[in-house]
Parts: sequence; C-alpha cells; structure tokens
Amino acid sequence: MERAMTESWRDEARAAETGRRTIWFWSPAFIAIGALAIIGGIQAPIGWIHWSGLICGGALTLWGFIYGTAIYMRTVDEQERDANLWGCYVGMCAYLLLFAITALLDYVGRPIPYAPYVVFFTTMMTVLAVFAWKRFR
Amino acid sequence: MRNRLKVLRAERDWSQADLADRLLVSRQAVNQIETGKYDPSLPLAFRIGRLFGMRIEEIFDDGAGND
Repeated sequence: MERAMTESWRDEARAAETGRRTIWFWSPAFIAIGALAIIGGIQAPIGWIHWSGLICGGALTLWGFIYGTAIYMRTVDEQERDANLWGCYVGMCAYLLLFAITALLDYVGRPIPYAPYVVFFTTMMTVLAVFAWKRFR
Repeated sequence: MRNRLKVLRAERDWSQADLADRLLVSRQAVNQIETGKYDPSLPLAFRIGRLFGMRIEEIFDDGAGND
C-alpha cells in the first residue's frame, strides 16, 4: 500500500515537473519570435510589414512575459519566492544607493558620467547574487 | 528552527528529492528546512506533519519550550 502510494506521489511530481518544463519552453519561444518580428519590422520599409511586425512582435513578446510570469508564480515554491523577495529587496536598495550617490555628486558639482548600463547591470547582478545565495546556500 | 525532518526522512529511507516530491516543493527547500536555514510556512508545516502522521510540534522545535 505504502509502495503504491510512493509511486503515485513520484509519478504525480514527475508529471508536474515535465509539464512545467514544457510550459517553460513556450515563454522564451514567444519572446524570441516576438523579438525577431520586431527586428524584422524595424528593418522593413514603412508599410504594412513594418507595422504588423512591430505590433505582432510586441504583442508576442508581451504575451511571452505575461505567460512566463503567470506560470512561474503558479509553480514556484515558497522558499524560492522568499529568495526572490530578498533578491528584489536588496537589488532595489542597491539601485536607490546608486541613485543617491549620483544625485549627491551632481548636487555638489562633481557629476559623474551617466552610465545606464552600469546601473542596470549592478542592480541585476545584486538581485541575482542575493537570490542565488538565499536559494542555494 | 530545529527540526527532526532529516531523521524522519532517513527512517523511511527517502532522499531529499523523494521528500520534495511528496511535499510538492523543491529539493533546495527541503535541504534548507532540514538545516534550519529556512522556516516553512504554516501550510507547508501542516503538510509535513500529515505526511509523517505527526503533530507539527513533534517535528519542529522553536526552542521556547512548554509554557
């Protein structure tokens, strides 16, 4: 009886994991196809191909993000959600600190060159580092 | 929070992945609960209790003792 129950649990868990993996494939696929359509639309001369590429590509990309987020929020477990919360919180603090430093330097007449990519990557790397630490330590 | 999850799991000869499958959480979550790095939510603690057929306080110890 216990053996049968064990196999049932395992089958159910494996089926759920397979389903999650299948669904996870489609979110990046939607985003990639949408991005390609947008790039194609930008490069095409102004006309119906240009606009349909931009509109359809934008819609596909947006759908990919929404679909992926919905699936992620449905399948993530509470420990990973906790790690995400900490990662995003510390990342936001890092972003605010960067903003405060640049604003202060600007205020005192020593502005530093604005580097959006530095701010973006610093914030994202902070989020990823804290998430990984909380998730896998 | 200290707990007996590792002992209970070992008594049944389950791996962390086996227990994670039964609780429908990740193996990392089981590992962190066992090592006391993560305290499970109340619903998950109830699921753990039901799985082992025990009360929550028989598995988890918050160190406060009995008042």
